[in-house]
Amino acid sequence: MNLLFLQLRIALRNILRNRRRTWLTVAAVTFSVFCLIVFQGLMTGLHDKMVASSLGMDLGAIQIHAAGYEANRTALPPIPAIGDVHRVLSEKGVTRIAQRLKTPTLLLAGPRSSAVILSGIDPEAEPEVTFIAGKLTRGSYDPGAGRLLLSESLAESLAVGLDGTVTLMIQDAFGKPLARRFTVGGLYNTGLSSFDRGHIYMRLADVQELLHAPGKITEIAIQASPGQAHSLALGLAERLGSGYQVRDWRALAPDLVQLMELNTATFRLLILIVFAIVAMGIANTMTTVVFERFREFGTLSAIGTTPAGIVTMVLLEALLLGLFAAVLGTGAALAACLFLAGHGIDLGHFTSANQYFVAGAVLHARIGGMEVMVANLITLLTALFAGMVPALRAARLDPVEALRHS
Amino acid sequence: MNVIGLEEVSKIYRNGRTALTALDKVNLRIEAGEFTCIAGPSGSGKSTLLHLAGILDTPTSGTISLLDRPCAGFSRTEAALFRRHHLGFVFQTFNLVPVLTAVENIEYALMLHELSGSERQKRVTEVLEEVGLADWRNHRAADLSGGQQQRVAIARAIVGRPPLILADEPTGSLDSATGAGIIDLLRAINQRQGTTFLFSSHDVRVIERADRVIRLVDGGIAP
Repeated sequence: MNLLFLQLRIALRNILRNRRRTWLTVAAVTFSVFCLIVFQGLMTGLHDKMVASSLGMDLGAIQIHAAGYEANRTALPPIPAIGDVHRVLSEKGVTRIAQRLKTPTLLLAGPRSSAVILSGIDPEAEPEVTFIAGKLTRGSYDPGAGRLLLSESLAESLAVGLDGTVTLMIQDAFGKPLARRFTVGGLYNTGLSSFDRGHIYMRLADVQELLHAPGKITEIAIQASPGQAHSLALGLAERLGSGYQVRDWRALAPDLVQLMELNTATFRLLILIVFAIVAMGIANTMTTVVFERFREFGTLSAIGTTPAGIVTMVLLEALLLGLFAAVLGTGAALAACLFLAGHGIDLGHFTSANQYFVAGAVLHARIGGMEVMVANLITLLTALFAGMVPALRAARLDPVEALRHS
Repeated sequence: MNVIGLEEVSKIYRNGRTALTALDKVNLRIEAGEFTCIAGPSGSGKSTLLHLAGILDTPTSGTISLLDRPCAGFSRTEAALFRRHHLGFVFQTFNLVPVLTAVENIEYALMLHELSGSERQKRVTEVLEEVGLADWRNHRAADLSGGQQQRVAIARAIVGRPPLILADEPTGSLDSATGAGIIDLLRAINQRQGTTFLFSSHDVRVIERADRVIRLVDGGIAP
């Protein structure tokens, strides 16, 4: 048994000396640890949901375009060597790929019109990247030749229905304007009207033929783990070279990233406030503990315990309080996260339709080992920090005054 | 060797405009192996003198040397380390760590010294037998009688084998029979190990057992 072990034993017995006070303090800190971990789990789950919705509507985790695509979209700059791109994707093990030919267009139905983005898609491959196929309400996701897929809200605003006729006014690959009539072959509804009103779909081959751009692809969307998208995008960009623009979802949706960062900052501020309260609770308990044991500290000083030794003793007590709370809080929080991961919380009743809940409004908690470790580390550091002032007070006690204390 | 040397030592406690002279220009030398009692009524400065001799407090003026070493200018840590290695303390109210057992209280003091585990165990067992508490080693301090607690305190004071032990009214909280037993124990340790003892008391029966008696009156040594 060494000195630290004996000091630990003293600390343990001391905190059990006044069990009621100890458990009240531990309960407060436990609740804070519980909140920290559960809120972290819910926030991660919320971010998962936001990313899944944003990526699954259209973006995908990575997009590949020709270099300079953004500045000149209407000119339909094609991806240069599509065969090379597929070979590189295959080498990287990427299988969830959707090829698209996208162009802005005007959709007319009688006197009504709407500016939309027309996407030529492969109905077989597209569901690997987006969930629009799952939002189909009527007709077919693959509307067939000469037919197109549009949303319920757009159809309503144009006053057309399934099998109704609309006209596309469009500029072909050579800049020549043209107009052609199509039949509505399918209707979808994501619940997010701002998206629904702006996106229509046709078969890729139909759009290529319409735009006089045979074999042209302007966009490859890739679905991958959001966490690995950045490194995968870097690897693809390096392999494909300068003729291509490869961007991950963080670059494609900076507003989403900013919102997640804002969420995280708000969460951290909340945690800072909660743990400031926790620190005050522990500091109050430890101050009382030190006050009650003035004579004991005076005695320990008299028999040769250095000020650093007394600081160690008090901090060990504070640390033990934090440790008990961390263990209890983590256990309870993991159980809660496990439950929330399985059952989730349906936020559909509490929020209006927005782009972040298109994939579903049920929030599932997700907590990782690192987050749990950080939560515990914060708790223990808070306990140590809170114990520091009473510990220094105990160490600075005048031994004579302390020995006289009753 | 001068175990304790006080030269012109004064201690004045100030409280606002009020000043209380607890010790007034005290000169004192204690030689190695002495068994000395500081006698005097309450408020005569006995505890103050012991606190100064134990470098728990600093004098207002004058110089103190312990084991021929001047003690002026010690930091808190230096003073604690000096006490750890050279001094033992026994208090009137025992002052054991209440959450520790008898053996743990003694071992705590020894752990401050860098000794091997086996050496610690050997010394703890020896001192427990010496103070007659071998059968009480695993009892918490709160479960022991006053006399037993003071024996544990004495064991804690001697286990590090310091050359000087300071005892402030060591029998003050005990009945006379138990107090006599404690003084017998201190005396036996003094004679067997040559440890220097400086203790305070106002009990005549305790004072009579000392080799030398220093009488304090109003902060000064009576002639």
